[in-house]
Amino acid sequence: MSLMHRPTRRLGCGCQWRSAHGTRDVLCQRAPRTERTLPARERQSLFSTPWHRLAACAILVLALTASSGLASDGLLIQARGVLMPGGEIGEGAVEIAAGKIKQVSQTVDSDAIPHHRYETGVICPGLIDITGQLGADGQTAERSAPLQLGISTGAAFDAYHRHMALAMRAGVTAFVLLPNDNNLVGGAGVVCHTGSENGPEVISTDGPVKLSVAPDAFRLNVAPTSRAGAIDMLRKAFEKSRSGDSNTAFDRFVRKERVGIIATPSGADVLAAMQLQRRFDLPLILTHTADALDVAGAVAGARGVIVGPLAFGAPRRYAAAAAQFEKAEVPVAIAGGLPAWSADSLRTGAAIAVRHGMSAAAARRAITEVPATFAGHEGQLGVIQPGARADLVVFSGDPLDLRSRVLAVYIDGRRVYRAPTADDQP
Amino acid sequence: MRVERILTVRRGFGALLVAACCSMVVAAPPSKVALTNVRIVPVSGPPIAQGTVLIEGGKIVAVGEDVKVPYDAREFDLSGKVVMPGMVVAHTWRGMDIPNESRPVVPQLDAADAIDPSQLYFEECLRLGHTVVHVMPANNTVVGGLGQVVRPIGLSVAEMTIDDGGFMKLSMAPRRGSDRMLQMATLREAFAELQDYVARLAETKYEEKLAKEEREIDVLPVEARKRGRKELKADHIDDEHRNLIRLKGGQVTVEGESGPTLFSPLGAFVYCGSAMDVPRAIAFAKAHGFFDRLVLVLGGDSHKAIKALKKAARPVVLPENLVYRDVDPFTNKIEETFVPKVIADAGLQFALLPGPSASLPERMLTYQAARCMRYGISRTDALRAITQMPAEIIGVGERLGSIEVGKDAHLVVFSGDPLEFTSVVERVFIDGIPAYDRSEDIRLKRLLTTKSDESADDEQ
Amino acid sequence: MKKKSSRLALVAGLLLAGAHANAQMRSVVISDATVVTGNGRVYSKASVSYQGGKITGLGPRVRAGFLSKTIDGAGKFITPGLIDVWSGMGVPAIVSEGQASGQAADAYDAFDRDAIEAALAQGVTTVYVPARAIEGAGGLGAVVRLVPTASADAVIKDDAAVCFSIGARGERALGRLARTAAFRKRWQDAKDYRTAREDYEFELEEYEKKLKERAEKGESSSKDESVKKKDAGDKKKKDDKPKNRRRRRRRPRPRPRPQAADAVMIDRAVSTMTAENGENGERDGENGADENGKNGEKKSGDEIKKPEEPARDPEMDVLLRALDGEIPVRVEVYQPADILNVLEVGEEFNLRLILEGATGAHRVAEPIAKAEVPVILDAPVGTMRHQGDPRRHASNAALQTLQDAGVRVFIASGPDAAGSTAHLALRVAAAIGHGLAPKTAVQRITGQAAELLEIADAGQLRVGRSADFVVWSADPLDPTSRVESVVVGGEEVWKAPKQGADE
Repeated sequence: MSLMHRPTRRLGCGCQWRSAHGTRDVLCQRAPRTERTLPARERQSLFSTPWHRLAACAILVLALTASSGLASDGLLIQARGVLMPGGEIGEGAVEIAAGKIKQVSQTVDSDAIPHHRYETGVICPGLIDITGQLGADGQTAERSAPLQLGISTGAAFDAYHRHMALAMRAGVTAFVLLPNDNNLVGGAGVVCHTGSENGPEVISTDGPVKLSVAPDAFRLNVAPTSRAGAIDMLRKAFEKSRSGDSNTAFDRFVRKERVGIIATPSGADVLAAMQLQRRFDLPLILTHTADALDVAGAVAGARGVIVGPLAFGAPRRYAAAAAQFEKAEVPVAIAGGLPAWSADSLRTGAAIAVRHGMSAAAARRAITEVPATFAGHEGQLGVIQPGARADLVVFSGDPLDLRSRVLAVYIDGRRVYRAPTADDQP
Repeated sequence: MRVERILTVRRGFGALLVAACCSMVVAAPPSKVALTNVRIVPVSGPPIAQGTVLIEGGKIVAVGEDVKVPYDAREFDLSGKVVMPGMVVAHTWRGMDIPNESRPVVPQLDAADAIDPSQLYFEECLRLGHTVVHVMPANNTVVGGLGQVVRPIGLSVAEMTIDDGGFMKLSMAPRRGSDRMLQMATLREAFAELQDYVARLAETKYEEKLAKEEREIDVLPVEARKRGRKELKADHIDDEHRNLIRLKGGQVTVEGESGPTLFSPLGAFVYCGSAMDVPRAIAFAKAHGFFDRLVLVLGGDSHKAIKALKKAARPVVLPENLVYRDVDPFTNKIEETFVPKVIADAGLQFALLPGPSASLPERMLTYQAARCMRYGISRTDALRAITQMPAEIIGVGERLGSIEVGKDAHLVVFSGDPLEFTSVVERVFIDGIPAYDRSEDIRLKRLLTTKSDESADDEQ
Repeated sequence: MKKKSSRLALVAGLLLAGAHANAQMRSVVISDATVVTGNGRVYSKASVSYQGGKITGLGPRVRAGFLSKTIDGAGKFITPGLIDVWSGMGVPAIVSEGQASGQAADAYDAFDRDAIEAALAQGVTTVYVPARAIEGAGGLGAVVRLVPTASADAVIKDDAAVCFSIGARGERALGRLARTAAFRKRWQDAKDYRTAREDYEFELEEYEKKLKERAEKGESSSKDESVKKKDAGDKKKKDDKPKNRRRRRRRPRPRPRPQAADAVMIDRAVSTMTAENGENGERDGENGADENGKNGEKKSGDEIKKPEEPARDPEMDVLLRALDGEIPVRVEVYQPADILNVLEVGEEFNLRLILEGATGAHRVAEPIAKAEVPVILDAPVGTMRHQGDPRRHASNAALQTLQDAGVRVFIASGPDAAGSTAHLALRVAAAIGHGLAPKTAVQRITGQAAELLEIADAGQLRVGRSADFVVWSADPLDPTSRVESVVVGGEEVWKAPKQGADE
């Protein structure tokens, strides 16, 4: 994973300014390595008004991405706390080598390797949006046929989309680019990074397969037009897959080699999906379930449930769903729904779920570890443990606490973003 | 056969039915009528297993087991039947052409001007035993106008009239295209404008008085208004404002060509579309002096304001739909409330309404009362809620609503227990007039006749 | 975790049972808690005592009186009930045509138990509900206290502000300009209305003077009338001078003619009567204007013109109150250019402005700060997608910018999503994440919010005030914090349901 060994495509300066009078957001896709910048203090004084500060931040990002080539050679990140695999915040420092987490240790030998220190920060695994549409918004619905067995969203991935950097800066390091609810079988999702030394990229093409029995998947005069028709078509598709020898993503899902995420808005949809799950022994994850309260008990057989996205206006019924599933001991992920929802929606959703009864540890896992597992990257993403990819976000406090800000973002061990206010000592 | 009631025949019923309608005639009240050997449900007291109701001059003159039938009385032997007081519909717009005037504030309107005696609705009333109908502007209004209490027989409104309505219709719930803010602002403004109107009118009258005396204006408007009050006569005030003054408790005498007419204070039927309207209606009635004459017409979830209703202890007219369904937004559980039970438990006086016209059984007040019984309201209260209580609420309780000596002879003869679903209305007497006889109800007969029956008739 | 929460619930339960039973008689002391007073003070390890519905002690040293009941509040936070200064709770969505005399209090549904309890469960006890309309003035906003049992005194204030909105529906620039022009015209109309009233008063004095002169000339009139005149004359003397000074000349301007419009509605006889009267008045008016001041000496039989009273206008009466500074004017406005226009109108008519929504406010932070206009910032944009009007300028940096410029920024749920009132504390936490100064953050939804809404007895914990507070299991801005109890007037109006009771 070292920068040295990776062939990089150079596309000139990756820094784009949208100079419209509106958002003068700075979008940093990638940085030319040769660029050097002014010392931090001078920059701060130059840019004293807020959007100049934003600009400063962008330049900082450039500088840091440029300088953090060091990371691949080993880096120690120290902070006040570290989010442990169980979801609790413990103490320690994270040592990174070759883009992976080498160890999480209590004792720190700070002289041995370069280190980044955040006095007040909490090191958290990068947040993962399990239902992301980043960079492919609206491009994940093939309407020609209800069963898209072999299709993959990888082709729809747009690495140059400005949403990537926005999401990354909010602490979202990875997402599953998932087909939407408009097909019975929507195809396979891909797992993507919102940034890296080469910019956003697809890190794995064997993401979950998307299924849907939502009304969105029903057609007006072509099958399926109803839930009964949909279930029947799905059943036949499973049977055909069982008897045939094709090897599409869908077939691998039927063979339990990857998971399926099925949109089941109503309680009845959930029950129908669970019936399919029992009959064909499928690794199913439920999503878009509005009637969670009524069916929490019935989903025990599912691999997990995706709740949300939740915004401040979320009705109690939705907000309390995560806690209900947690109680039913079903793994819960909280969706971010980017970019239709705001970049902060993962954390907002987790905070709201906690307010409505979910435990803090489960909520932290619901936006890191659990979606990583659902995406098929258990132990690789969303967790701070030796051997996992070093996708880390340093928050100024507990990631659940909405007062916390993102101080820095690391992807594959490289610091790709550093907030202008971060108080670390490089 | 002095008076014939001609009904408008709709949608090609044909000449046959014209004849049929004519047969449902309103005769002049025979001087004496006796209903004998009948089970009497007087509502105001315990039933009499077998007795006689004697009617003279349209009034009930005797009720009991041992009533002697005078030789000159027209006797109806009703053995095996049940007689109960004519039922009272406390609030309906039906009988008029449309429910509401489209302008929001029309206190000058009177339902009496819009009642159409030829409407089939009144025929339906007879068939169901509803003998007293309080026709009122509907709920899509702010200040809707006056109601009229009528009987479902008669060729003209005057002939139908039992009582000039004593109630103004108001609505707290927003009318179509409005919202609650606008609704209340309009309502408040209607009453604020009344004050302006009276003040200015008084001023004018004072000035007119001076002019008559050939004097010149000598005081400021404020004083002129005070002085002019004395000059103000009831007939100076237009209908619109007169009715609002009456609503506020004013008693107004108007000198007309045919002598003075006394307009007594008006009560108000105030429609509350939801619980939040109830406290507002009560407060508004108190502020404008008609709380003592307030009747709340409930709709939607108004029963949730039961505390306020109980405290106010004013009579209520219940929603047409007796069961209110609520979905808990958290659990999605459907909660059903049987509204009359909530109201009855609070000890309020209440009137049941016939259900929506789309529902055949709910149109019958007896069915509504029977449902009340099923959900735990006593038989007496259920029966009172369709007779005595609505009669009292609309201000004709002295004359109607029960079978008692001295009351108007509004009687309904059922084939069995009135609250039994299989019982039918066989005869209706209104003010002693035999107004309906099921055996002569040609329209009903036609409805109940099947094709095969008809062909059988033809063969004969 | 579960054990812990059930223990918390137990404590809460005890707390509440105590509070309830002894609301009036016994003094209650909650000790060892963190007390956030709402006016900037935070006492850790402090106590709150209350008795008879009032707070009797507050701070690190509160003495438990004789027979008082002490509740251990270790680890808990006590705050005033949170105040949502711009909420959509229980009010209908934006209506097409407004009326300044409409009142949001009329539209507030005190029976929406679910929404009220959801908000109480998150510590929000007081909300401001707007009267929104696309066109014209929406009406009067209301301040409402949330109580689970619908009661008439839920409405604390039914005239908290006059509401306007410009561009809330994403109108194009020209449409917004038209709205702004209409906004300005409203105030000009209100001013004219006031002028007309003042003119009338002045004319009335002149009129009175003439009446008096005439009466003195012809002493033949009856005694009681002369007494009346004398009375009136006395009154006149008192306020004669200032009024004269204020307005001597009569300005020509259109006057509303009241009777004509209603003529259709009223009985024919009366309508003819009033119409005649109106005509007379007008004719007299013309004569009077010419002769004004000339005919000091009048021959008997000469008509003295009776001034015409301007028609009462309920909407204008409301706007006048705002024009006099009695009530603030709230404008829901988003675009920077519109904000500047609104500020200009505010300055011209000396209005007490409050800006709502204001997603573009940071672009014009300086003028807003200069005008000392508070801003209630819209909820953060809930999507990453391109936002059209009205939220085109929304930015997470807005808070910081406004704050740096010295604008008083308030955080509220905004009227679009009624459910978000409940998450006010989390909203504020997120605002801190986006740059709101943590020190003032809680004050902005307690003490300062009460000041903004001009409600005296809320938002602050202070000895002698009503015992209204919320007991939290932890810092209210922390998502893990739970509301354990909401106390109003020393009585618990809401308490946390027992967790784990079903296990």
